[in-house]
Amino acid sequence: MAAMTEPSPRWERSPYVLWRRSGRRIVLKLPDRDELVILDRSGVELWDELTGPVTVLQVAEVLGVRFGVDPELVAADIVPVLADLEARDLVHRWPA
Amino acid sequence: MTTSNGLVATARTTELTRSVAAHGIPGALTTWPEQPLDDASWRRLMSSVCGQRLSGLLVEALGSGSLPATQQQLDEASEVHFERVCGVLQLESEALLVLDALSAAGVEAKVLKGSATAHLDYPDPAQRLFADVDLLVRAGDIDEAVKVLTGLGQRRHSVQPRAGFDRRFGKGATFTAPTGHEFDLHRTFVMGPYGLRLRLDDLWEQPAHFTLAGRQVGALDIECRFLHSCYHAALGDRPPRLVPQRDIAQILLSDRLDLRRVDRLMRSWQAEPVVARAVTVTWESLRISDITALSTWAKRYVPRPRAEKDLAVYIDDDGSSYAAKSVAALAALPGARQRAAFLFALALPRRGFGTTSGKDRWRRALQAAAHRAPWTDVSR
Repeated sequence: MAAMTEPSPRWERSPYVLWRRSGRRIVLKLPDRDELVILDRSGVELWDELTGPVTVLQVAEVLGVRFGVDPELVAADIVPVLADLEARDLVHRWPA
Repeated sequence: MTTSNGLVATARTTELTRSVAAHGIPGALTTWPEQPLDDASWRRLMSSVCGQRLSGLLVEALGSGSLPATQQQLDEASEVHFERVCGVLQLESEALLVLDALSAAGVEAKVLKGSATAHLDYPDPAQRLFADVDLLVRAGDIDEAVKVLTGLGQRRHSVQPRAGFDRRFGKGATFTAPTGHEFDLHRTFVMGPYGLRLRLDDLWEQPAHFTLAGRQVGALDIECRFLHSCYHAALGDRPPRLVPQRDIAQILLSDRLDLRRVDRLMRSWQAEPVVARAVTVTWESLRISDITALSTWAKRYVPRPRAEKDLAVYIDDDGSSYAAKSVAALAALPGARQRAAFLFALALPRRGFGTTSGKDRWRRALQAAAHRAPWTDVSR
């Protein structure tokens, strides 16, 4: 019997974020907080892929092709970033 | 003393700044250097671009290669834009706070210019920067809106001369928030005759919104946004600032306008001279070669003498004063009762009205108004 694939959570930008692109950076802010969060390099690439609910694997595959990197390596890089963004309420995780 | 080299340098900076303002407009005749600017020229350009709040379009021009630059220049422009963008996000946060408070008080508000134009009329809102927040409220709500902003700790720059002046005659009120940011509350677009002739109900006729942090925020519909940009460009700062000119071009060349509605509103508000001046100045300043029905009309438009006088109170060096606008406003008011109330407010402002300079402006306005016959209808 084939092993069942565990469903993965899906991620997308929080709609409550104010943000702007500035050169190679993206600046994020929640209206009721003073903190400004700056994304650059891979953070910007990640943010650009979070327009709709996507899994880590889906994002990793897109970025892996774009940069010629093994998607598994990309996934390992973006998981902690997503966790950090979620902790700051900047992204929303849809349960699996 | 400015040397001829200095004049040439200034002219060159002005030309480059206009090219920055026009960057990305199809059909705009922009001129760019072939090599990166020397240090002195770069400093002048940065100062000019920052003064005009065009750093968003500057980084676009640099990024596209239109404006050659050294790495140091690229980094500097990028850093300046980044700082401005951080400021814009702070402003939008504060705007949402104010809008929530107004809504809780039952006051409907629309965002004018700034954030609304950035999100609705530019492909990337980071291209369109702003340094304050302008909010439009209905005339009947302005007193409540003033209370709300005051309750938030915002400091009004000068109080109305008498109760009811804001609601009946004023352009609005300017506030400074505890953060130091400026909030402009508007009843109409401008003070003076063109502000008074505007039919305020038209600004609320068609609903329009943009999304800010997940919320639907009120804005003017596109025709009114275009007309407001015209008022801003034609009747605002002297010389006209480049951002409202870019807004005019951005909207007009997007082919989204209902030109028949623009025409109807323009005539209803007696704003043809304003729109003609704004579009003509924009087309000349940004050197736009594309011909549209409105740019053709604007170029051919000749204002009547009365309209020229009204424009003069906004644009002439010797005519553009608070007193001159007040006199012209008097003529724009319908009926003797309105004019009497206006003059009464000027003549007998309430105790505690304004700063010394504010009182002086009103005294001069009253003296100027008293020299004309306020009780006869003025033909237009």
